[in-house]
Amino acid sequence: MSALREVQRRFGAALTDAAGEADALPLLAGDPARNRALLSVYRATAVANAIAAVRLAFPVCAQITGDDFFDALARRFRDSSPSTEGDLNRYGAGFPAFLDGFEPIRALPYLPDVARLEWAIHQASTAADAEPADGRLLAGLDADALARARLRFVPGFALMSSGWPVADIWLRHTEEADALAGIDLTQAQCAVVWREGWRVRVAALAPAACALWQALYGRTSVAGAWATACAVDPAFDPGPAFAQALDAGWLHSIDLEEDL
Amino acid sequence: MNLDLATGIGLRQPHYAQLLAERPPLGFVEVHSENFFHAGGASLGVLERARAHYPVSLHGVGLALASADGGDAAHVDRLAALVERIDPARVSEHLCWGRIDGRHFNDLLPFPYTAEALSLVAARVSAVQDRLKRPLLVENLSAYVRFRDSEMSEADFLSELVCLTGCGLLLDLNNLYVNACNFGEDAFDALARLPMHAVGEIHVAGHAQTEYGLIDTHGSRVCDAVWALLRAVRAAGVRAPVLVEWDTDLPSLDLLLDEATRAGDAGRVAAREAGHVRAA
Repeated sequence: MSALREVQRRFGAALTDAAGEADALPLLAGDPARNRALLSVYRATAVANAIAAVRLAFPVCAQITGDDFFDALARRFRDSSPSTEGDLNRYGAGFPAFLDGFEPIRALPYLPDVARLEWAIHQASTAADAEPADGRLLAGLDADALARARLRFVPGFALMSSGWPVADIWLRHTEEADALAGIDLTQAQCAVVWREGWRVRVAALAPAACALWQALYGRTSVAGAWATACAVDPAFDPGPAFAQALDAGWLHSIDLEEDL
Repeated sequence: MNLDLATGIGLRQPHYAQLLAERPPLGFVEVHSENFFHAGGASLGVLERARAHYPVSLHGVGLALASADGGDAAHVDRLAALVERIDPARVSEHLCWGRIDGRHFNDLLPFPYTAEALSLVAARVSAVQDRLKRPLLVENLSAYVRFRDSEMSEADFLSELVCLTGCGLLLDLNNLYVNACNFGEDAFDALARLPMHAVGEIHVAGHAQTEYGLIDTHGSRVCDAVWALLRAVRAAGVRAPVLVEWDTDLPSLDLLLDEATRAGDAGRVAAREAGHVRAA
């Protein structure tokens, strides 16, 4: 085996766990007691860098739990899913799944879904810049062509349906301190995430509208998606839903059948 | 791009609005490359706006050139895309490792300076330079421990690396000073062993005194000893841009600009006294 690889394995083990120090110390020149202290400085830096990255991606989760508790969560997450890449901005995709069923947050059952929403927001914030379709995208299409059309969405657009009022929780936390007051935490909600210029926006969607957009986002035709939405709410009116999408800039372009 | 004796500061998020609005006279701005490995969005947009007014130096912290694990092609691809988009004046990385057996510590970790390591780092640097179609500057590291198996000094390792790959040197004077203090050496001796002809950028920064010795925190003003090293480098005729590096406890933009002015003044005075710059 390469001597360099062996050195890095042993040094890395000492950065992962103090128990690894015994094998790393013989690699180092100079006073072992001082080297032991310095290995602990390196170990603390690696932990702190990972925690800072997770906190940056999940600020509302940290607001909900408090910083100290959040740092402990992030540390446990790092123990189970360490960073694998040189870019810490990409670290944390697995954090929501890590929180699922994690015993210490049993009192905050909505936290994993708030984390899912925050990861979608994190992704949207760095998605490619794109000009949304203008408000006349669907104008002039005959009903038959529209029914068979499929839609493309702007980069960063995301939908999530949750058993918790995630959009309300997130929106309230970005505005005020005691942000859970007055929210019905038993209410399921669908959240939509999109970019408006450089700003990431979040809104709640009604269940039928959520079904419509999830189907369209999954490349179902307009007619098929409408049927899906009507199955959720027979009185669903797609007019206001499309108006909202065009107004907010969710849509990028339309594929008519002859393009497919 | 010839930045000569230019001075620069890091472009940091709390200063974005003020810097873009006031556009202070600066020779260049520097960013951590990884913070702009994005398809789009606000931070990349700000960097592009800054680039319209200033040369940009891209300073990487995640390439881990000395990792025995093998290169990260996707990381290099993202760097190449950013280089293509920003057309930077400099692209730099650290002489360090960070990843082993698939795990990345996201820190700048030291390694033994051996022939094996030299061969690996040289191959990695050459591959990155081929991909970027431009030279890479490699920065001397602040390393808190040293290895029994080292066969040469960091300065000799960097000199060999420059010879083997044609890369440049990002001379971090604070790192040089921190290492010299921590290991009871003379920073000017260490400076004399480095390949001055290859210096493509200089960093100055502050450090912290701790119970473990000096730690390279980039969180305070530059100390007198590091200014003295900068004057020595200028007096030796090194004409490369100097960056005031400040990453933690970020001060006001005005204080940072003041520190950059000091860096420029120190360098110009020393260079003029040594006859490397004609008096205006």
